[in-house]
Amino acid sequence: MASYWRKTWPFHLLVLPALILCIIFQYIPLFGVVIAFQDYQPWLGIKKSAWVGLTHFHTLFQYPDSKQVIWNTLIIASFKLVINLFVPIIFALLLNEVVKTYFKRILQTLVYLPHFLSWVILGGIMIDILSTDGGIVNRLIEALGGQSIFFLGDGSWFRVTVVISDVWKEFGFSAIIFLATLVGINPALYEAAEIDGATRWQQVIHISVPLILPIVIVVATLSLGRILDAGFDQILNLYNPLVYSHGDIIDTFVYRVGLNNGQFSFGTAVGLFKSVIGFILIIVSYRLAYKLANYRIF
Amino acid sequence: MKRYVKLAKGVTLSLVIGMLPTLAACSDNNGNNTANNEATTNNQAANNGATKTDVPPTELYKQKFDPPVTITTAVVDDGTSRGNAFKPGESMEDNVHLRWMKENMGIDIKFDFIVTKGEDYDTKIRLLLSSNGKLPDVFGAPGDSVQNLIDAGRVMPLDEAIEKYAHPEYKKILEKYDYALGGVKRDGKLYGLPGFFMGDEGTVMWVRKDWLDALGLQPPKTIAELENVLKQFTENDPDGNGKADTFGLAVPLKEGPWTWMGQTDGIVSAFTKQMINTYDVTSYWNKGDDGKLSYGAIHPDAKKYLETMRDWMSKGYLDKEAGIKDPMKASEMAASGKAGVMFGPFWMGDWPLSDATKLNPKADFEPFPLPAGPDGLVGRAEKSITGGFTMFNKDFKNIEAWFAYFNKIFAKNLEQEGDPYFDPRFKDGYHEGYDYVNLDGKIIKGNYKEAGVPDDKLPLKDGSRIDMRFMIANGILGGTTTIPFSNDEPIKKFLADPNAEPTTTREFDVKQMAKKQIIAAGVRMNQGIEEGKNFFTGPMTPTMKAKGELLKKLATESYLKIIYGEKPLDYFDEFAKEWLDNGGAKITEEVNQWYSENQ
Repeated sequence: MASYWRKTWPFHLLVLPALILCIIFQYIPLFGVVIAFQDYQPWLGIKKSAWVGLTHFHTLFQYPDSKQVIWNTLIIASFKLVINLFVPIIFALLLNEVVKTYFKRILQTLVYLPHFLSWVILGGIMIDILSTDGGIVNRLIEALGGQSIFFLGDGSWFRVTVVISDVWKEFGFSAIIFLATLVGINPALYEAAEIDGATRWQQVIHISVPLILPIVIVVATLSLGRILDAGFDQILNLYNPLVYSHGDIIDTFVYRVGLNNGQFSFGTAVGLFKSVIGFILIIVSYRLAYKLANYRIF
Repeated sequence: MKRYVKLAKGVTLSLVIGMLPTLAACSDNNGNNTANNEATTNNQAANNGATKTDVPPTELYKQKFDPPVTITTAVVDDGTSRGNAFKPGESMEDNVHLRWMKENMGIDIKFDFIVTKGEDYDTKIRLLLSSNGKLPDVFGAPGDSVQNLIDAGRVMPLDEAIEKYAHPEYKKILEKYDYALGGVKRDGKLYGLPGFFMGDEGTVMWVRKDWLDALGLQPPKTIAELENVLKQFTENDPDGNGKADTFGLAVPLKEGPWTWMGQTDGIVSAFTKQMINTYDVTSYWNKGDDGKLSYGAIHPDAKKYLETMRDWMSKGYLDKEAGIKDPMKASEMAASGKAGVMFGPFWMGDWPLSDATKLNPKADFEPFPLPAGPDGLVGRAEKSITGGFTMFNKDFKNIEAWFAYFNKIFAKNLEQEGDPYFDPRFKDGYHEGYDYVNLDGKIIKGNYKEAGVPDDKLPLKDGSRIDMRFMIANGILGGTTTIPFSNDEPIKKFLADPNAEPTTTREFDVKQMAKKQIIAAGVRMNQGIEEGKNFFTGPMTPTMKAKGELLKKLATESYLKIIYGEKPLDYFDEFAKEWLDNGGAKITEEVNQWYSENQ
């Protein structure tokens, strides 16, 4: 043991600042969740505010809108989760097959550019390009003989719009991690397969896919923990009263009720509820990943 | 109510009389008493440093605190939106005005914090509040913190200080607009000083005059005529480009029918005296014949408005996408030449509607009076008269110094003859070489290069003006306070003679306005209609806090569904019932309770 410490103490020292930061900014603030069980008044502080037990959780489930909001969140988030997982994988696999380097570079840069734009900007752009009055998307639909669609004002289209636009924004960036894995695959495997007479397609199915699977599982596991994050920035910038019934999610709801309305305790209660669900999901999926793919982090 | 009208009339009258130069002596006396009071207290506070027991009013402006007094404050300064506020090398913390205050008034301003974003400022105040940190001596309080600050007992009640030190004309304004101060009152005491708005942003109707002319139409005077104009604008290709790409009315409905630009209060009031507002549950509480307050958005009269809007929407006279557009987006439709009518404040003539002219030189949005309804009704909603509030740390010891400074700035705004608070050193402006240039006795306040100011005397090298508001209001005043409706007189003057010479600062500011704005402001004044008043001006009630957002969502959603034809008109009754059942009834009770105690 002593020799272990003697050898590794510089590394531990390196980790120390990160650990301290983590404790200060991640763990200590955790105690703030107690205000979910209080009638928190900022000037009284946590110590003096009155305790109210589970009242705020009761309120959450009694709001006529709560069910709708939770349902919307789940629907939008699950679709995002699934599509946001598969589109980048497929894109990465396809891009990996591109031989011409300059084309690959240009393509990759183009698709991950939208990731760096904020939804405040994109929200405005979306309203313009999806407009029924000369928006480029509807012009295309009309040119193809279809009827123009009020994407952002029609409840049944709103969720589709939200999911697709989110995938469009993020898939290029999410693909980076898969591309990195693909690049790391030992070329000897492909060479051997080629000698054995495997086609491009067979190489993808039997070498690339199995080798990126562990990473896919990690990514999926991690994103399951955020299943109740349906994309606050995006929804806030795109939604409107016409689509409240289909687009209002927990986060936007908390934002309006908790922050705009100054109901800090209630907002925290909803946030805590979200985190608990997320925590349970991440444990379940980790167990599953361990059982099915023999994958483990620890 | 009657009592209130009387009081308001009395106050207005006294204000008008007080302003007449021939009766200036009257307000002089008034000022005198306060002045003496102030002098005495100042000296106590200043440990008899300056031994002027009886400062004559004419000398009042020279008062200097000795030893100097330090006042701490806080400010939002993002450095970009303020444009030309300082000369190179100067800053919010170190500039000519602060130095002047220190040297001439013995007031030293220190900033507890300067942040670049409004949100950060709110957060900072909230943190100071929850951590029991020291609040600045004087600070502008963000809207949602006002109640918390008062609840927490961290701010000072101001009645006594106002009584003792405030400029008499300011007291009159406080009294006149007392009804707008409910939010900062607690147990009959006033805890914040309002930043008064001009209050003159009441809606006018902007119509494309060139489109009217192209189709041989007259400006609409009634809702029926307006409907015809909207129809012609939608169907008869007013821009003559051969495409069916125009519509009548640009209106933002994302936040409900009552907002800061493109609002439809002019249409509502053509049908009823009941004002509606779906966006904010504290706003548009109307008074019924029984003397009780009720929420406008659930009043049956709102149906008449909804019916009209629904009809216009189905016929394509409104923007099909109005439901997803905020005021900025909606105004783009007008500015880009798609829509021919938009309602809004007088300033829209310069921005954003003038953008239409940039695209098409012939585009011409002109302001017109609001149209009358079938029964001859015409009206608009009253604009809020107050912005934020300036609040004082309860431990602040030098409020007389704050008032000494505030009164100076206020008197400068007022520019009243014989005002003992008026500092003659500010006669031409605040600081020579900053907001004005003295060119051989001629005072030049803008367009310096055209006026022949030599390069070495220009306030800024590029010849642009320095915006003094940032040195003055952002210091310890918590924002700009204006005297409500004080633009009206200068506007009348320049309407009568556009080339008249401005003589006061206010007139100078008005003269800087775009011609269309002055005309539009004239349209508003000349229509002379009684503005619909929101009778609830108290703090948010407990149920409003808990259920307000839910009700707001319900109202905006239901209104839009009816306008878009997704639900029948009768759905309104269902909505009204749901609104009442989900906390609205309780809120109505609370509001009436407040009203019976505070009217």
